Amino acid sequence: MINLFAYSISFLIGFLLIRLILGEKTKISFFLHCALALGLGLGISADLTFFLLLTCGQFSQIGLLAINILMLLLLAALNFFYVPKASRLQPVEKIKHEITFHITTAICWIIAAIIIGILSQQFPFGGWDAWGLYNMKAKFIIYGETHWTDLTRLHAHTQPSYPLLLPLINAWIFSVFQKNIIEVASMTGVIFSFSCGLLLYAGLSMLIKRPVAVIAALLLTTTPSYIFWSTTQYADVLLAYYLLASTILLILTLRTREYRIALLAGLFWGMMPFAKNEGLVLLFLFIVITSGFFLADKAYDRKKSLSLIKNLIIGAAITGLATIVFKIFLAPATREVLYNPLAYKLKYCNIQGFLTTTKFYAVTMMSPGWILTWSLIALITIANLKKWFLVKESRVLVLILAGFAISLLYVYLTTAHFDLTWRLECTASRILLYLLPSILFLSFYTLWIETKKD
Amino acid sequence: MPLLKYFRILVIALASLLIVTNFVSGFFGVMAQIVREQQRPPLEPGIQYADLKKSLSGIRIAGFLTDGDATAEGNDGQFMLAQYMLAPTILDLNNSDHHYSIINCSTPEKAMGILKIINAKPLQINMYGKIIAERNL
Repeated sequence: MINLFAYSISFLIGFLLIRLILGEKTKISFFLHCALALGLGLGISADLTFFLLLTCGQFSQIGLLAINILMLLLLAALNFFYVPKASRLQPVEKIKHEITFHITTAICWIIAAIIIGILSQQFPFGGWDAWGLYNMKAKFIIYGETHWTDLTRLHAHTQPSYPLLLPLINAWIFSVFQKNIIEVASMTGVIFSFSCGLLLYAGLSMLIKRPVAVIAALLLTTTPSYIFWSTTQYADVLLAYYLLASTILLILTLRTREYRIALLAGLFWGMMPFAKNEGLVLLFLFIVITSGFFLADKAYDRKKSLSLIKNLIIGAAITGLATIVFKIFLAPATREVLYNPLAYKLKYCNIQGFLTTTKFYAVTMMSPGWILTWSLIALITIANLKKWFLVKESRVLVLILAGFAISLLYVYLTTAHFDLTWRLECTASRILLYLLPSILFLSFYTLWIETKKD
Repeated sequence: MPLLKYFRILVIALASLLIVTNFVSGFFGVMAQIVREQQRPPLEPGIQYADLKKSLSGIRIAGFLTDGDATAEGNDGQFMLAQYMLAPTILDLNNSDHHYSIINCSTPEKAMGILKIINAKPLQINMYGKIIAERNL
């Protein structure tokens, strides 16, 4: 519980930064503001930790505390001077039986939080790769002194090319009271796991009816395999959160065409590559497909489109800077993606490899912990397929997801250093985990959003 | 339009049913977890290497020599366990050039064989049979 203070500092940083970016006129709901604040704040604290490590050369508790508190004070001052106190958040649409709704949902959220909290102790030290990759790297950051960059010289089994967002968040939280790093890693997993559900509700409730949004969010938060994989202290839950935030803010950007929302969306897009390597592909797809959409759609004024694209890229560049520095100056090349597949003998790049991959994903989705949620998504998708392409926001997101699926297929089919089945066993469930919140969001959004035809 | 309305109602009903099912299975999961915690307190990964940490204090890099499978797919996890526990010392898998090496073997005879090959003497042997070897440079 003592670590909550450090999470609170990050939350406030995120909250004030969002308030400053959105200013007086651009309004989002208070709930969405809070749900986004935690992720943005923790991401910024991790970025600050990274750059402090680079400048000071080693982990410094005082330095970290000072820089985070300084950032908090700076944002508070800027908010005080530039954002009018009277600026209000978007009011939520009233529903019938408001009090009953609040009591019921509060009870459901509390039960979900208790279940997540207790089940997170199935692996108190984290899943195999969690302690072996992420928690071990946090040890290098904290105890490595001036040799903390040795984490990029580690053996390939420990994935030295993996981005550092999760170990950096844990190192920052640890720095405040210097208590058990294992507890910190566990709490980060629980917080992101639960926040993903809250974010799904907050995002959906701005676009569709709140009771429906609550059902979608609770469905996510209580799915057994979601709880299992999101609390095993892997970085996948971080990507799940940032991908969902990116999806929500992309939809808001497309709907509102507000520069400020675009900048905020860019900030979240830029966080994805620092969470996991797949985030780089997602960032690329978000930028290319959204920009293409803005430029191709005649409904948009070209000048405004260019400004929106500029804001998206500026936002992504600000938070993506840490990834750029890490990838260019520190990380070794990843062995997982072949940049020149022709140089290898590819034994899986054939129809058999394709069938193995697709069958494996189908089987994983049909496993007991996933099957009911994915079946419901499949039902919504099949019955509502037309609308996925009719609604322009979902059209953009479908293209992004399709692009990502093709990239994944490329990575699997060009597997050269590993056994394909082993690779699928290691990755399929985790990929389903980080895609689930965004796909669930999209399913409910497309089904409930009203089009002209409706 | 009415079809869409009925479909939405169906989705809400199915999703609500799923949430209730998930809550019930979550309850049983929680009960099982509480029993598990009482029966068997969890051990930190790499505990087999914990007492070697002191001897490696301040050592930036050491070798990790094993007679087991060292491939990504088929390894027994000993290298990962050792690397986790002994961080921030870098372990160099199957490289005997370093002054210090951790030796993880299935039998003492095999460990002695490795010590002989790399011309090293054991500095510390723990109760799990893990050895810190120092090369005679």
